[in-house]
Amino acid sequence: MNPSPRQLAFDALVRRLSPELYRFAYWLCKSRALAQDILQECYLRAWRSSEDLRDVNSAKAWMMTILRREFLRTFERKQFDLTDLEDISIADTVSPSLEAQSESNLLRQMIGKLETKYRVPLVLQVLGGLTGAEISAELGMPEATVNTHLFRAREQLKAMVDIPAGDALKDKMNQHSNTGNLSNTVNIGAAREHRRI
Amino acid sequence: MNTAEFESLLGIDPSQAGRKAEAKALQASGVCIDAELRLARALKFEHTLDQAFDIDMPDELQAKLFALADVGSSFAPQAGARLISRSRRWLAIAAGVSMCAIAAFVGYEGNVQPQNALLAQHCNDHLVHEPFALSRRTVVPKDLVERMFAMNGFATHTADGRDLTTLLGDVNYLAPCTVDGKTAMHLVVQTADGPVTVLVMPKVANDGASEVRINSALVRISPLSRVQNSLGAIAFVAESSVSVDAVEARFLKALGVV
Repeated sequence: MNPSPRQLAFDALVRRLSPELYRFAYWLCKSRALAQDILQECYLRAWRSSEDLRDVNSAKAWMMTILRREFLRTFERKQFDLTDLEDISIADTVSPSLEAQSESNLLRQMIGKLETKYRVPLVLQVLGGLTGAEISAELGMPEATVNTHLFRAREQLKAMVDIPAGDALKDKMNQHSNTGNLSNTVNIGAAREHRRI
Repeated sequence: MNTAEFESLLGIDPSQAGRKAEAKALQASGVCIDAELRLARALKFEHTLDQAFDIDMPDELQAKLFALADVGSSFAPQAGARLISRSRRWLAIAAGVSMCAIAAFVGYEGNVQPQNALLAQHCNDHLVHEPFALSRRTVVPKDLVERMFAMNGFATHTADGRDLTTLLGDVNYLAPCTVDGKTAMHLVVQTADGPVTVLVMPKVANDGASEVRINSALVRISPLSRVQNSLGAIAFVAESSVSVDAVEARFLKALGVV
């Protein structure tokens, strides 16, 4: 039997968005198992109400909203007791060097330790590509508060991973420049823009 | 803008368009002589942050998501359902499901306690998340099974020295999951009659041993400890026509419950 147009559209939605949505779910709840559950619930809801999706281009924003609501709904309803398996470090196949890999792993642990009020806006900004105003609308809090939380989130992370300052930083920057790593950083804005929902 | 204000902006969103121009202007004016270095530092941190956020999706998850369309189809709204508002429709569905569940619990076994009734419902609901797991026939390597049980605090050898995985027999699906927000191990064991789903939940509260029928499914719950009111339960879920007795006996023996 041939799949229906609705089924084909759903499959395309899974292929296109699920890796990003999984990442989003994972960093919201910090548990792989729960992220999978939330993502599945999110897609199940999306399937059931797919008639509401009129514009395919807005699918990501629509799905992220469903996912975030599902996350909040789940947390409102349940008291979690996640003795997690997350202590297993996540295999990093993206970072170029061992040093960078360990930095990423350390940062992952630190992101997980951020308070929810700091982590959620950061996730929305970095993974969702949302602006401060959009995060403010999404979370229903003043933009100034969102900005404060974003600032504090970064400050805490930087302090935790001990980003070098002054001359040591210059040396490190020069090293990165020489190896071409710094060139990656100029594309951050473009990458975030690409993720925009 | 001074240096402190620029640093604040970098802390809020260093990748925003226009930051480079701001840094250049600040440095050129002498207000902040290392503005460009500060921006470069902030962007480097953002790059690390991006890499840290970048985690891979589990391989099997996409297959589960594709399968959801089949599951979702059975709940697809019928033509005319729009006559009822969306929220009311959900309320109606929720109320209907609850009524069916309660009726089933009471109808099947009057002595099922509310905690187990709810747990059985959660276990049955959980199957919707992993429908493809029921058709898995490959055998999960024993070392993975052993590792998963060990990570969840189970002894890998019985008191008389027998190996846990040998006692369990073949396991055809294994995944860490959550049931009602609590850590669980989700296993599927194929039997001659059909698949039996086993949910090992080390931290759930339960009312002791009981059996619950939900529509055509049977959920049998056993406590993981003989100590009354202690946490931990194991649930066996299967179609009513499938006998879970043999699988239950193996698991309870392997986990030292009997």
